[in-house]
Amino acid sequence: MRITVQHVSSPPRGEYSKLGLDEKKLIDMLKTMITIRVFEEKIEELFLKEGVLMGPAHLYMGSEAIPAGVKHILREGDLVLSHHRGHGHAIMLGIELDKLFAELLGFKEGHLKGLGGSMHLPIDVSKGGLYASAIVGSQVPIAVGVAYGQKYYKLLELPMLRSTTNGNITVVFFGDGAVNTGAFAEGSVMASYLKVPLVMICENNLYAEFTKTPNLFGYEDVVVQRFLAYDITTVIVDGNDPLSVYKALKMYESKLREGEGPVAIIANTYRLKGHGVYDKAAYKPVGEEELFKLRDPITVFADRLIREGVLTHDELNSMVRDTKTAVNTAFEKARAGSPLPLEELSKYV
Amino acid sequence: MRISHIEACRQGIMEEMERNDRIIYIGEDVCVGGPHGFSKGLYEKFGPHRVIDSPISEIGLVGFGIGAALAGLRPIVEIMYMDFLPLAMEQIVNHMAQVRFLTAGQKDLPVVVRTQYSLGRQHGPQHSQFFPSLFTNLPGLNVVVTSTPYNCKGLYKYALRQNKPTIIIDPAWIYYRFVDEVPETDYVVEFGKANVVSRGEDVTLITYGRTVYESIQAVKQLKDRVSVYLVDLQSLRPLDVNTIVEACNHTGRVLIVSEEHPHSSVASYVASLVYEKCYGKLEKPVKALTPPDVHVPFSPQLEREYMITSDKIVKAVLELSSDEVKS
Repeated sequence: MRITVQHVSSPPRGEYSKLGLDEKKLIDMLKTMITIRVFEEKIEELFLKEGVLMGPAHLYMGSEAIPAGVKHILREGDLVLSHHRGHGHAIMLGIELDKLFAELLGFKEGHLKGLGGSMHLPIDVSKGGLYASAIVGSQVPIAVGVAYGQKYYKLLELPMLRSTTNGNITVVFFGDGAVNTGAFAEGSVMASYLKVPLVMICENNLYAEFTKTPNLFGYEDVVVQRFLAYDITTVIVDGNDPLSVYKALKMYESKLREGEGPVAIIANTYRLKGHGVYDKAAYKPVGEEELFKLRDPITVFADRLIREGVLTHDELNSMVRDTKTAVNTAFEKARAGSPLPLEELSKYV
Repeated sequence: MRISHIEACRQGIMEEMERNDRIIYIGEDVCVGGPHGFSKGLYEKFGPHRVIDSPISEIGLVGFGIGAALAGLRPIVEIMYMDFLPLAMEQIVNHMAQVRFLTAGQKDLPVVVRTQYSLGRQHGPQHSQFFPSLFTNLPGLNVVVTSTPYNCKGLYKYALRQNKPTIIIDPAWIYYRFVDEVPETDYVVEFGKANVVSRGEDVTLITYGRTVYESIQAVKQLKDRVSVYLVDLQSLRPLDVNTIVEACNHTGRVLIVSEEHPHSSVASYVASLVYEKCYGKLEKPVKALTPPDVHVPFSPQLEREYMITSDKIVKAVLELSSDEVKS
């Protein structure tokens, strides 16, 4: 099969029911996005204003629509692999907010007992968060092995990890910076060759650390060109719209679950902040952030739901207010924790 | 039954694959047996889902193994030559060794990466290297080096029944050369235990890998002159410190034989342990017998000179035991 590159645009309202979208899902998408934004704003404040958090943290602001859309395609037994900029994925998986804060504080009450921290935050095996790599791109070949496991269990009719049914998929997230790594190249080779049920989601946020990837090469579609090389079916979507992300996945869901091979989703989005929390992103062109704020995924989607009568202004306001309360409460609970004793670390080696 | 080292490795793997259908085998050219015939017959017996040819993508291969283990399989990843293993170094260092730690014990990682080194087979500087200490430095990994038909079968079987990530290194030089008795019955060789080959009185000889074969020949040559306490480490991490200490205390004269580069090696770590734990019992300084601190030359004559032969071991043992040689 030769590969196709396809653009998928946002579904009109009339398509919702055909795509399995109801009000509950739409509202949950918005809630997921708001939770990620509020959580990240709190973290930024804890780093920069209060100085309570330390080390690197790579904020997810601007790309909230991607996990919000992915969340509603996942079912029991599907597995997710993430990366250093993964707070949004952790929230998508439903890891408890107080555990996330405890982890960021380095406390034993964290879901990784303070051993992993920010760059491994979306790991909670009980929730399908299998792994997150702090090394750009390295999760891609690992995800191929995970997806092969799912394919293998289906072929041999063995019980799958966290699932009693077959036809599970693996979702691996990475950024546009990752597509130039050797791990991405070889992972893509293996995914294409073994025809694994893998969704490769590129959060194309324009920046690889401090550098705009297309500027290095002198052409815009760097990520597309990479997937073309590996014969992987590729779909390009507006990554600031959860419905576009969801629709693209839905269109290819049966191909994936039937084991016909990997699908790549290029979700075009924007990194609203710097690379790390301390990075002021002085290298960004003047006015660029403001331009992207005009199409902030949360504002755009909330406006749409209000316009379509799914949600009222008041309901939106109380959703934001409740989320802020929940985030603050979770942090207050987490800050009472403490680190593991050093002698206990050998238990985890 | 008397079988070769390579046959014993294969038997161990086959028996475990029969016992457990979550074990899969992936590597370059493995479906036709690979360049040495190591995986011969696996594909015919276990089929295309369990025995998989890989493109030449070592990062992809080791990453695949880590992922398959995360999903609950027990993959064996074959890296054709040890010299190719550093291609996947990032996957090994940051992921394979660390998964259990950074998931705070949520996931074990029963992946086995197996490889061989071809020192002594005239393969030149980039197909002959033996550098287990690049990996023994890392917490979280098992690193074992097989050396006999008996231990290779048992070590493979143990690797496939335990849950930690493991690197198994076979000396290809002994693949067909070392033929020995192996039990018909099921057995394993546990990690973290050294094998005492002979419990002698005069000199303790600690070694691992291909030089176990050379050391056994040396002990035979020395039979009526020096009584050698020969220890095959087999498991470099975890390391059997108790057996090392007991063996060194017993004779007070210690020779460490290793075909690694001498700098920052397993041999140098063992020497430091011996000084730390056996100092009062040592009658002479610990002696390390290693190749010179250069790369492996191609020239067949030079390679032979570079390697540690039984004759060199005999000479070193005699030097260490010099004031006790029986006339």
